[in-house]
Amino acid sequence: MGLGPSIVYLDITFSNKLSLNKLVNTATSSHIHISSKSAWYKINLAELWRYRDLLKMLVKRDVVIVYKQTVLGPVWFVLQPILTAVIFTFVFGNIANLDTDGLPKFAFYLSGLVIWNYFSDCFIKTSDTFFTNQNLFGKVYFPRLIVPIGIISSGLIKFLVQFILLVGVCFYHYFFTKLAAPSIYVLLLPLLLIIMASLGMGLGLIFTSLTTKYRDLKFLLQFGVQLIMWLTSIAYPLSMVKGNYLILLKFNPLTHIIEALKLGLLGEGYFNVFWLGYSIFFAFAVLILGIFVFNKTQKDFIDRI
Amino acid sequence: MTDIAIHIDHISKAYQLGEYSSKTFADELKKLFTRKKETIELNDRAQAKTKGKVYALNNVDITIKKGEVVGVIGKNGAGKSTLLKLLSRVTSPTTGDIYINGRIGALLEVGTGFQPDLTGRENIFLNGAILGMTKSEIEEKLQEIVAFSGCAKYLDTPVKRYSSGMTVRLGFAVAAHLEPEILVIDEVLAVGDQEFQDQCIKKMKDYAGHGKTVLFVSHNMASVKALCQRGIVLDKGSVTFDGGIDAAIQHYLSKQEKSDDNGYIKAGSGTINTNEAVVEKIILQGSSAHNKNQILYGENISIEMDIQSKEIIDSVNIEFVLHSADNYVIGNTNNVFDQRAIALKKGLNKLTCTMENNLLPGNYSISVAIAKPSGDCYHHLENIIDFKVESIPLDKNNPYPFVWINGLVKFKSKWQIN
Repeated sequence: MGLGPSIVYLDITFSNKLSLNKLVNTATSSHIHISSKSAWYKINLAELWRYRDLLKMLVKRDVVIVYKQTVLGPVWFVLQPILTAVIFTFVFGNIANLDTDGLPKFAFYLSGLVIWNYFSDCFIKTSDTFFTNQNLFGKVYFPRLIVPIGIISSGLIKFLVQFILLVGVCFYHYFFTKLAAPSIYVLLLPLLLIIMASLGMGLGLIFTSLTTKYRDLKFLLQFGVQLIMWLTSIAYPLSMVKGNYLILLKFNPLTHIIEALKLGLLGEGYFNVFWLGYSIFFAFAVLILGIFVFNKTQKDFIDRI
Repeated sequence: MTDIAIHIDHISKAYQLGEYSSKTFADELKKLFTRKKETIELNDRAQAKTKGKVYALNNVDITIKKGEVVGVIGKNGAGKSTLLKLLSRVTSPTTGDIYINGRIGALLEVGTGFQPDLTGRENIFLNGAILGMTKSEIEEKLQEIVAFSGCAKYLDTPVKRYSSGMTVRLGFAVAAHLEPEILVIDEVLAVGDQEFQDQCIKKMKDYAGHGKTVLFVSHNMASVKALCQRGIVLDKGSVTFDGGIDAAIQHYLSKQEKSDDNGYIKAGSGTINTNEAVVEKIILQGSSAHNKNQILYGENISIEMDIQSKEIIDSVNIEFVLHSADNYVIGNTNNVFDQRAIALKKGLNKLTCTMENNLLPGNYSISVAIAKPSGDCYHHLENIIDFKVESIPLDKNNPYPFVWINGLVKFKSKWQIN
């Protein structure tokens, strides 16, 4: 189409400052076709990329808001896993006297909890996308997928803060108690994070899409995530589980991620290429399904919510 | 085809009436396996319906060329907001296509997504990004935005401490600097103080003057008239008129409910009608009873009204508002202003009001409201009577040079020269 040049001309005439950025922006977004028949599998990645500044703003907002009007600010990020790990150490480690593969108890529980928290954060927050943003979504258009991507990104920042704490605890054990030692599997960490984020976001997208119609799922979710945690090897090592129960736990894709992390950071854990592959496949299948369901729902959920 | 900014092609939008979700899980399962034929009807608010679907927009075709400034007018429920929602991609059409050529900025609300805990500056960036601006674009225009909003002093204060007026100003300031090629705008102008409103109108005129396409949806005929060249009238989801703005406003106003030839008003009419105190009949005449709905220049206006009241009402507030032909409010009169208390007895009440008339020859209309002292209306009838002030003077000795008609009102004046 001969539209490109005419737009450039317009820009030169009506604004004194012509930045390259602006030119690209106008040129790429100049044709919009809104159709009743737009397909559920069509996802405009170029548009998503164009809104990357919005993503940065949303992440900044999420992080900054934690600081506002609190005395402790980001300390809250680490307080929650510390306290939970302390309670776990007390209840499972000391009262129930569960085995921890010979690893220091606090470090064992903390490592599981930190990465679990990232997953559950992504899942729970994403699953509320349509509800929390219905006002915004009802008034202005931007690629809706930006919001869940923002959620997993700001979740990652929170995770990193907690992870620094975890690394601190690990180093204490590497150098002072010598009760734990890192292994080469620690290099898997970025991959493990991607799987966790994909799984959390994918499940969240499916749930938020379905809750626009079936609000029942909101109630299920609240305790459902808690229940899944007990089916993941966080409060106990996988080596304690035997027989059919072990098979059951192995089908939980989260198990292999938690185990791989413990193996990498603390030197003890279960690792199997096939099962980790299963987790990866599972996570990406859920993510892709979630994106499509979300994409279909976002088109007119505002009429139904 | 490159001179077309927006092409709306056979757009329809249906909404579900009544409860959306099924009552039980079994119903939900049944619905999955059976496809019911759905009844679909036109959108008519007056008819009560609990089930089926309703068309908020029905087969609408509109083509807007680049550089056109178009006003969309219509009653509440005519489909204006639905059209806006479709254009701004908040929801998607049931059938049809919309083609948009050029960067579009749709303003359904100002300050969308403002975060109360963030400062004004942080919100400018967040809101700008939500509206589709890049960070560098916002940085470039930050000074302008701040100056336009007039909130420079409070830039680093959380928005939750702002007054509502300030929040709106800041929101509009960001939106106004979005600089799209096509601007779709809802009645966001009806906010803020006079100074700010003028600023907004100026900004929008600026836009229109620079060859950008503007689609303006409003109830306010005066601002539509001031801004637009072309007018589209929507009624019950369909375009009933598309043409010059003056003709469009005429068409819209002529469609409003009026009293019949004997002054009777259709039961149940009015923008507000609580049925507690109802105007049944209204007659507007000149004091010389020259002709109904025709007033001589300089002649007092007399209004006779029959009011039916269900109960005894100790004190009512009766107001008449005068509008010009383009629905601009000229002025009003009210029994409270005149310090005349009015009580209604149960049953029929006959009321007469005589108004001094300073109107210049032309077409006018009048709205009536019966309200509680608190201002809540019992009955509100908008533009219920159209009347004409003739270019025939009442006082033959004091004629007005009618070729020099300028404005709407002649002010009484005394002159002296030494």
